Amino acid sequence: MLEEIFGIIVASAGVYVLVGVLVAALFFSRWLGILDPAAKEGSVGFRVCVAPGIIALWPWLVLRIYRSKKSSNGDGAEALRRNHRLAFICLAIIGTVLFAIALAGRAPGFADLPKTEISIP
Amino acid sequence: MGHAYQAVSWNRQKKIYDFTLLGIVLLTASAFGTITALRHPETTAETFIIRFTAITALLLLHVTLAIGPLARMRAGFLPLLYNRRHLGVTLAMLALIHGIFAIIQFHALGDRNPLVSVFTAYGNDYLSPLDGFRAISRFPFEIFGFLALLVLFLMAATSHDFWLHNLGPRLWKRLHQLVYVAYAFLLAHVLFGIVQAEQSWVIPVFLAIGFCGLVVLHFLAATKERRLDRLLNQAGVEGFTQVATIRELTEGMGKVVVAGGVRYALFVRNGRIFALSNVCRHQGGPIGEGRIVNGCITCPWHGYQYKAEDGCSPPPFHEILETYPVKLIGERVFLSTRANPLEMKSEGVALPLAPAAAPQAFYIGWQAKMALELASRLKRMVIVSAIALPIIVGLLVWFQNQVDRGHYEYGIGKKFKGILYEFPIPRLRLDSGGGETVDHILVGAGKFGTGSLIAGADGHRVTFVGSLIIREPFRMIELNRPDTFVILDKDAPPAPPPTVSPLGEGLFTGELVDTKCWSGVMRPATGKVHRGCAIRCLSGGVPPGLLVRDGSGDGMVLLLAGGDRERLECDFQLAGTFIDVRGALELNGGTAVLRVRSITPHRK
Repeated sequence: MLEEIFGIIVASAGVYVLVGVLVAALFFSRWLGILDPAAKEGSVGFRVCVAPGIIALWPWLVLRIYRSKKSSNGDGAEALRRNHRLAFICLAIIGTVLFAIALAGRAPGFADLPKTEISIP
Repeated sequence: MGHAYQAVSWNRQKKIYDFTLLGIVLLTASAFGTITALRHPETTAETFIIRFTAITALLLLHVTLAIGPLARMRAGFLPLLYNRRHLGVTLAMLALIHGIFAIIQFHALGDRNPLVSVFTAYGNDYLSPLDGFRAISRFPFEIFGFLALLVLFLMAATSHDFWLHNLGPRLWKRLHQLVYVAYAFLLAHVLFGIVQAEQSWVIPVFLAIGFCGLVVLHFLAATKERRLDRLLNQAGVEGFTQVATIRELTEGMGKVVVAGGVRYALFVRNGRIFALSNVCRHQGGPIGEGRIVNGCITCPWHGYQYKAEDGCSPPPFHEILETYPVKLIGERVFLSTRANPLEMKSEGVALPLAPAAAPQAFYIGWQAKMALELASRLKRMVIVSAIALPIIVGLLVWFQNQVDRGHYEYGIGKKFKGILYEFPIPRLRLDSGGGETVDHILVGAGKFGTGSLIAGADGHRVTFVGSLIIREPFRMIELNRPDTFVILDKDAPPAPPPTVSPLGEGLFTGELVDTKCWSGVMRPATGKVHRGCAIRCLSGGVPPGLLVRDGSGDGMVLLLAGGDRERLECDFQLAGTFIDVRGALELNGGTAVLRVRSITPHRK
């Protein structure tokens, strides 16, 4: 059952990446200037650098081009700072719990096994 | 932004940063390689790559996460922040190499899709917490590593300024704050992976030091920020709030002030006070901690510039900061939180006394040279890192478990000829001269047993080309050229089966291993990190073995077999864990074989 579920997930991820490659090809050939005029003149190296991101975030990219929504500016710095603080507090707690669980439940090693007295001629 | 994008907008500081980073990574690799060669010479190249990339990526992640709070507390660390994204991309690449090699090494060439196998090889153990506290250590660690890699990859893939500009600083920042999620996943990956497999306390101790160090640094930085947030604003006149006194201001320098819970930047330029948003349009850097350089307000993080009068970046850039009205009553500075119309030119407020900026070093990444004071401090930091990182890596390698021995003649095909015995374990009996015979266990290529290839050849003379795998007293042949397999005496009666000498019956406790890896194909071939591979091998038909501690405390493998001509019934997801096997031990033609009656997980 688990294998079937993960099989479907992996296959879906494959399809997602494949569509992403197609969108990246379309993006570089047609849509580059629509989204960001500065990208139109971008070098080959730039295209190589952003291609993995386009493949990963293609649904967002398609939506952006379709809606022509402007990117948000730098507002919300206080909210970001709050998120940052919250993220680190969560990490500090989760990390401590992980350490406690993993070390207290640490698996015994080979040296902890009972010896087997066998004499094989 | 106002110019065509490049892959990397190189400047001298970035080149120095990247060469230094590359140098430290290479130095770490050298230390890792040297200690590995001295201490664990049996380590295979794949294992070396997997371990080196893992340790280096984890170390770099700690450095990356430490740079933020360090730069908040001491401006001397700002040069490390300037090109931090290259550090992030480097560690993401190392993590990607680690992931790819680990998937190939442990899950490829088997009977399942390797990407599915990563998550499901011992899928039953997702429920291990239900079996009690001690069983939690069996929980699959690979999924945490995969999720961490996914986040790191996403961050690296969106690290270019194109993404910053198009996602917008807020969304981009939120996306990149996921680094904490990636760190949590990595902690789980390490704690439930290598920490469970290794007996040394060096790895958990170093990991705990790194984790605690990050928590303390972030706490200290947050304390500093909180102090600023708690500044008491005094209500002023006509919507203006008092935020500072003129004695706190210095010509050419910024000051972060708070009004209504929001931070603003005050600057004194040519004796006039200007107020602007404190949030840089680039990555949200604290403008108020910047300076005026070449007549422009300059962000301390990446050197983005704005004119004090209207908040606009100088051409060809298009970024704009909000500006705010300022009033001066006596020595008190008041600020209105209602922004001026964008791009509106403001005269600022004349300051009666404008002390000049103290000559302190200020780092701007795009300038060709940095201040001498900063440069020498950075050199010291680089030297300390270049010494510390290889030492840490060296200690981690030195105290690793001893790597399994063995010899695998990978890619070397030899012709073999002898009598094949299919049961209880596929073996080839070779004449070693003088009437002596030596049994070699037969396995297939990759993570497979011999399968149906040898069916019907029991007791017959055969010949084929294969590769030797030797870990004395085990000898094994990988039958990797099935096209060369020929039964030489098909019509002759089969040779009698090997003689069997019973050695006793009892309960044996040990680790369930796949004998192919244990014999030398993988080094290491035991423990939790190898568990996925062992399961794939056993599931593919490689003969299972029980690794027990013999009387002297060393490891000895007993081949596990079912009844006469019966396949062994066993849950292969137990591979890499300790099991109790009840059965009868016999010497089957010189090979110790344990005829299994029952297998249960070892509970102590």
